[in-house]
Order: sequence, then structure tokens, then C-alpha cells
Amino acid sequence: MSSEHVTASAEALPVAAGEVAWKRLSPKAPLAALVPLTGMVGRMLLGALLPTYFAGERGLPAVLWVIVVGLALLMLAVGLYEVATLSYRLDGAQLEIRSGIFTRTSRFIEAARVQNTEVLQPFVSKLLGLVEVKVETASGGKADGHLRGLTPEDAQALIDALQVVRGEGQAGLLPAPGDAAPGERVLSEARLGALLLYGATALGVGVLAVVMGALHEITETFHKLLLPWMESHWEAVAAPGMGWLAATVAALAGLFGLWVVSGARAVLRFHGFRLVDTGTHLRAVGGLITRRQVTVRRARIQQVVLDEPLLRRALGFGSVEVETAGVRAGKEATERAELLVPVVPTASMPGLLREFVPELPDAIDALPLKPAHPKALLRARIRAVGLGVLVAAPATWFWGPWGALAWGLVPAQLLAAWFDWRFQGWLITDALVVVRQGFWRRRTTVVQRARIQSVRARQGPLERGYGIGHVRIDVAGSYVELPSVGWDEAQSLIDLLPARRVPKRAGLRLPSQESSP
Amino acid sequence: MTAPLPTLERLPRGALTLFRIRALLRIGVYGAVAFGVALMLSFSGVEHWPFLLPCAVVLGLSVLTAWYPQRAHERWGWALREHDLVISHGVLMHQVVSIPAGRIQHVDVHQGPIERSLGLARLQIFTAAGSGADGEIPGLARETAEALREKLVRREADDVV
Repeated sequence: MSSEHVTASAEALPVAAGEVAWKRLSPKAPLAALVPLTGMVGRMLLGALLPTYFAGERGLPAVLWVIVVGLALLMLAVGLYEVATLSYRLDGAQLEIRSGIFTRTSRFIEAARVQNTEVLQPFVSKLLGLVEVKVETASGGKADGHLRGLTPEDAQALIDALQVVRGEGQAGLLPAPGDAAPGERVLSEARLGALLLYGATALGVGVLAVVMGALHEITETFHKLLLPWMESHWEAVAAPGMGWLAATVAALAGLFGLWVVSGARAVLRFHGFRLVDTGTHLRAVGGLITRRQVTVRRARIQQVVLDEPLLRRALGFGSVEVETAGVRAGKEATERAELLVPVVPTASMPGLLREFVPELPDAIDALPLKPAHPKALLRARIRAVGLGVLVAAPATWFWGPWGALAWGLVPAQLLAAWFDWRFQGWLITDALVVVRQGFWRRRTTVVQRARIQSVRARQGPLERGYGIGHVRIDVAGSYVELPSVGWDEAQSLIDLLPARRVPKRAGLRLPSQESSP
Repeated sequence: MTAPLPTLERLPRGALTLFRIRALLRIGVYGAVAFGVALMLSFSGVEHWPFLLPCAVVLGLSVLTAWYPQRAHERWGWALREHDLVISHGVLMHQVVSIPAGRIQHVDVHQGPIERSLGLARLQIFTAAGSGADGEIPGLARETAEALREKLVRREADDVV
């Protein structure tokens, strides 16, 4: 198999004798790349577009528009030309990607260094019958190899070839919903109702951004349509009690709006979600418009996080985030995780977690976790009071008696601080570090000690006064912080935590290594 | 459970000079910025107090410079052990970092113009954990930095990530 498989259906480019042929993306690839590239260029030029837009109202010369639009078109043309001329090949144990117009770049990715592969099928690509392949290593913040516009057969051939070079079995690509290939086990699935529940309990930054945008539109509609009607029926609208009614309706409508947007996002991202165990790999597929398939090698799992906000715990489920060494950008942890299982019923949680971390004890809820240091509670209380005062004092200054209601935040914050302190803990076993944090948004992180890259004990000026400190454990691509511990214990943990690794298996040596002395 | 830190190697005397020169440069840069701001304020009609701003900045930083580099120099320390490299530093935020020897991906030796003139070098240690350096030791004697780099990279690394 290996490179021969990849080049079998290649649109062969002229090559020297004995050299592996280069392969191009599909001829329809520039069409598929048009939408994402336009978005990318738009984001890059946002800084120029916004002032141009606002200054335009004051009669700024249209030449600015010409310059900005011309620049955007040029960047778009360059991007599309790059996609049209990008070529790749698998030469021995290396994936080589060649691109660029003015500066030609050749990128070499060692198959053994691949952390995970991701196959995406955005809506336009789906219409064109194409897919995107992302090959991630541990090197940086963006996908190291991004091939936009491959035919599914070529993508399959590439992923198979990468796996064969690493001495692993093949994994199927984008299987039809409802199917599981022979020899594969379905570990988790998410149905529509469960996804709506997941969405309703996940109100993140993205949801708020969408809702704020929608509010802007609603306000404009209100001024155009509803305000004239209200003015013509002013006596009925201004009747006693209508203010409270309006506020209640607005609050309920706002909550409903948040729920709908959040649910819609969850369905868009995870519709038809299925997690499959292929033996050496875990493969997750899901998504309504953009279909996304992530393949993670079991041996590459660095950290597993069990995310259980209070509401989800009450509803009997949680989510599981799996991190490899691939580095992803994102505001929320769910965006940074390489693999996210959105809905895992509480009862089947231990079983699923053991699929990711076989050394994990049975009853993860009953683990004898060590509590945070008692003096950490005092620190948490001081922070809670400080935050409360920071909000309540300006609120009282600006809004008088109504603003003074914000002082109610102080006891609420104090209570929350106690809950968060009381329900955190940590445990070191022979092979693992388990850290649990938060009561309202409980997150349990499991790290294999053999994966630890570095450990640091830190002590801020306030912590010094209490004789406590905190410990940060870095693994490739992520990190976790232990709850506060005594400073002496923190210093001893940096010695205790990292564990030696099991020696390499002989079967995974690369051809290049075998030939070296 | 408690295990005391190993005996740490301290930075050479030249490192204190390096820290002091850097602190002086910082006074110059921040003072110049504050002076620029004061100039702009005075042009925009504010009469007397704007030039107190650079004075306050320079005074504050001067007081800090008299104290901080010495403390920072005392706090920096490192120890190369059989299984890891330990680095301890920080005046306000005290940190002790342990980097297991097998996890080190690469080591950089960096020399800026001031460091070069003082015969010093900065050692940066990278693991697979993140985008930046996981450990850094500034103000090492050039020979020490080279020797330490040689010892660190010669150790057998674990499997990829």
C-alpha cells in the first residue's frame, strides 16, 4: 500500500524516474474553497472595511472602496490559485505538501508525528462531492497539513496510506449514518432530543454573540413596525402593570431565544454524532451542514476531561473532551478539544472513560480525592467579596436604590466560592492524575503521568501569606491546574508527578530509522 | 511527602549587571513614552500637571530598579539532576519548574547584544507542551550555557509526544 495506493488514482504530474508522483487536488477544489477563502479574506480586511464603511457615510471618496475591494479580490485570486496548484505526495514515511506562487513552500510531515486526522465536508464541498483533510501534528496552533478539495477516494487513500506507514490498520472514511464497519464498536451516539438538551445547557460566548446580533435586528424591526402601533394604542399600552408584563415577556423571550440558538448550534455541529472504536483508533463523525470526522489514535490521547455542569448532572448526562497534542485555537474548552462526545449518560460515563484511559478506576464519582488546602477557602472568599464589591459599588453609584440590589451578589458569590472550594479535589494514582474542579460547572480532568511534559509550582504574593501555592501540569497541547496545596507539598509534587514511560515497541520503527546505525 | 528542593546553582555576578542594565533601559523606554504622552497632553491644552507623569514614572521605576534586580538575581536558580532540570525564579510570583529530561524537544542558546558584551547567554528549553519555551535561564555564563545545552540534548528522549 503506502505511497503506491495514493498515486494509483493520481492526476500524475511529470516526475523524474524513480520519484513518487505528485498529486493535485480535484479540479473543483477552487470552487469548494471559494466560500472559506472569502470568509478568511473578509476577516483579514475587517480592520479596513469597517472604517471605510463608517467613513463612507460622510462622503469619503469611493476610491477607498476600490482599493479595499481590489485588495480583497487580489488576495482571493492568490488563495484560489494556490488551491488550484497545490500538490502533495506521500514519499516513504513523509507527507509532502507543495504550495505557493511567489514563494514556493514545501512542507514535510512525518507520518509518525501525526497526532490526529480530521475529514471535513462543508456544505459547498458536499454539493461538489469533495472533502477537506486536516493532518495535525503537535507543532503549532493551526492544522499542519490542510488539503481543501479532495475526492473522498483520494482522501481515503491518503489516510489509509498514512496509517499503513505507521504500521496500523485502516480506518473507514465518512461511513453512511447508521452503519458500522465490521470489527468496529459504536461507543456513543447522540439523538436529536439529547442534542437539544445539550444545546439548552451550553450557553457559551458564541451563543451570546449570535443573540446580540439578533437583538440588534429585533430592535430595528421594533422601531419600524411595533413602535408606530404602540404609539397609536398608547392608552392601552401604558395601563398599570403593563411594565412588569413587558419585562417578564422580554425576559422569557430572551431565554427562549438563547435556548433556540444554543440548541440549533448543537444540532448543526453534532447531528448524527457517532463515536466508533476501530481498534487502534477512535473515530467521531457528526454535523448537519458541515460533516466532520475526527480520527484520534488511542496512543496519542493526552488528556480527558469530563464536563458536567450542574444542570446536565441533574438531567443525567455530561460531555467528554479528549485532547491530543494537536494545538487548536478557541475561546471555549469545547472548541479546543480535538474530540468532543457531547452527550454521555451518567450511567455509561465510567465505561466510556475507560475506553480513553484504561487505567481509570471503576467508580470515578467515588474516588478518594484529596481536598483543596483549607486556606484556599479564605483566598476564594476574599476574591468573591472583591468581585461583588467591584460590581455592586458602581451599580449603586449609577442606579441608586435599584443598583443597590447588586449587593446581593456578595453573599451569592461567597456561597459560590464555598461550593467551588468544597467540591474540588485531586488524586495521584500509579498511572494517573485526576483533578476535579467547580461545583456549578464541574470538570474532572484525567492526565496520564507518563504524558506529563513539565510540572511547575507557583506561589503568588497573596498565596505566600497563607503558605499555599498551586501546581500546573503541562501535557502536550493542554494543561491542568491542581487545587491549592501547601507550598511544601507543591514543591514535592514537581518531583513526584512525572512518571517514566514504557519503552518503545519495536514494531513502530520507521524505515529511515531502521537503515540508520 | 515533603521533599526539599535540591541545592540550586545560582546565576553568576554578571547576570545581576544584566538585570540592572535591562531595568535602566526599561526606565528609559517607559520614561520616553510617558514624556511623549505628557507632550501631547500639554499641546492639547492641559497646562501644568502633564510633566509630572514622566517624573512619577521615572521615580517609581528608579525605586523599583534599586530593589528588584537584586531580588530577582537571588531568586534565580537551577539544578540539573539525573531525571530532570529544575528552575526556580520569580520575585512576586515564585515559580519552581521541573522539566523531565526525556521530554525535552530542543534547547536554544540566545545571546542579545548586551548579553554578548557581558559574555552571558540565555538558555531556553522547549518541550511538546506549548508554543513558547517551557523553561528559561537568563544570564548564564556562555560556557555554562553551552555545557548545559550539550548535557540536555545528549540525553535520550522519550517517544514522540
